[in-house]
Amino acid sequence: MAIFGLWVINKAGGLVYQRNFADGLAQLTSNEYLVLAGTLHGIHAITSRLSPIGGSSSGAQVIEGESFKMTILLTATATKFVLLTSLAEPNADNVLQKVYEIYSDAVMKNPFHTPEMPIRSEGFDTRITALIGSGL
Amino acid sequence: MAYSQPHSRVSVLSTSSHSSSVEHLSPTASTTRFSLPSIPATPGAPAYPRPAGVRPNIYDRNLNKTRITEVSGAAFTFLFSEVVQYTQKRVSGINDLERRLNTLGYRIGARVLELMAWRAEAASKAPKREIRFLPALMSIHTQVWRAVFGKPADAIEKSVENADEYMIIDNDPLVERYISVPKDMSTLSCSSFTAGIVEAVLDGLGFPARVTAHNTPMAQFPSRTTILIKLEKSVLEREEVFKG
Amino acid sequence: MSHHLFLLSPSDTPLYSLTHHSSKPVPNVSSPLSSNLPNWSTSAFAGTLTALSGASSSAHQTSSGTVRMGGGQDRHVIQMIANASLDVIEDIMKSQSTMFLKSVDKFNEWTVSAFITPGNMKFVLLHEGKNDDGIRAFFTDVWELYVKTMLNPFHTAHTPIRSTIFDTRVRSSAKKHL
Repeated sequence: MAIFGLWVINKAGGLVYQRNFADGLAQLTSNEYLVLAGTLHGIHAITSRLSPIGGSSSGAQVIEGESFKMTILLTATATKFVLLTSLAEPNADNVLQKVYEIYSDAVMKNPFHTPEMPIRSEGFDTRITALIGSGL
Repeated sequence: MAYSQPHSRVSVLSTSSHSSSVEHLSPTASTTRFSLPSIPATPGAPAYPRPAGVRPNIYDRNLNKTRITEVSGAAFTFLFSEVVQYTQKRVSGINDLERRLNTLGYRIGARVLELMAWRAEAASKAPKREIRFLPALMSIHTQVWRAVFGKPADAIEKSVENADEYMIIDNDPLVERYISVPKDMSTLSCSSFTAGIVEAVLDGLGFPARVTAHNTPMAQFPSRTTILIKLEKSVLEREEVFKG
Repeated sequence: MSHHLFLLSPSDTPLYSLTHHSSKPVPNVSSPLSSNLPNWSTSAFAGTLTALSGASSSAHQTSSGTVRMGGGQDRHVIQMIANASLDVIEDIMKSQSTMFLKSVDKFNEWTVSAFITPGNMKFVLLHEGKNDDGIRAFFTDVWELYVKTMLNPFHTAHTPIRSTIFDTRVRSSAKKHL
């Protein structure tokens, strides 16, 4: 049970926040993270169109690999929170809900944040640290 | 309106400030429309029945009605965030930004002072103002903070070096709870808004001062803020007279 | 019997004024100055001087030929008395913490009572008779109305009060208490 990392992807598919919390996944460069986030954005778009029942669906919620899974929370304003965890992690959904709450408080209420731009808010960092752990 | 009525002259006496067309439809309106305006028995209570959905005029409202009601914290922080963003677009630097926030706070403070004092003193036979500085400072620390932020401030300090300087300390200022100031503006304190409130209250009570806000973080209180009050000379002289 | 109310901003600018004539009788006030006053009829300020002297019922022939009524009921005289009392009020309010300052000043037939709000607004009332409780109740009403005016975001401590509802409410309070 471990939380490896957190991504926040804006509605255009840009990675606006990325942070690692534990070893276990390959270390990538920031450029690689950007590319992967963009790819995930595309995959998510495909999954939301593939719904067997007509109309749009909320798209992929969990993507599982052999050693890890990614849990995706899509907000009403099309921001995506992605949590990378071990397969056994039972709390991913709860943690994502709390991350969303922290984001609403520390990012959206901060007058120095520009929507859709990278998140550089000390308050967000501290609160995420308090929620998930100090990380690397 | 009144034109169709047989005694239209009389209706001129009605002071109804509400939409008369709505009132016209209401069966109870006819009695009030022809009566003299009278001061309601309980101050602030509406003198006549009011159609639903129309907000009463401020003069018809009871000032104590909202004494214990609370404002949505999220609504306030979003509003304050917009205030800071709006102001930031129109200033030339951090000092200018702080000055403008102070000015906005001043407008709040002037109202808070009057309303707070009214709520505390209006029922008294001999209402009193605060004329000594230290009790005034205490009441800002406790009453004003409680009225505005719902909790008293955390400390009052007196400067050791300067006799004209006092400080009010808030360990976790409400206005800054969700604000993260970027590194390149680290001297900015959005509590300048609070400083403006304090300045207005002091000014109103007759203690003119320059009030500023400063970040004084501590390990356990990262957003700890000091409101610095620098009194005008006249205030100190006046206090001397009281002592003598 | 008449009453004159002035609301003055913290910088002493008049924001509102009201003259109220009540039906209650005027008490007989003797004016010591008026008896030993020379004849000022040639002066352009005759009206004012007569008024200041307290000769309340005399009419004067001024140099311009028009008849002016003296008697301390002239608008400018009333304003002057109100203004003159500000010095006394400001002295007292520094050392006295009560908001209601009754009979702080006297000028001929006029007595001046005042009310200082915490925000340093001054309500000044010129009255002829003694009616402490009525005046106190009147000031309390005006204070409440002023606080409500202050809650208007477009109002500042230096904005003249032009609200008709405010005016109506002050008048009915005056009718009730004065």
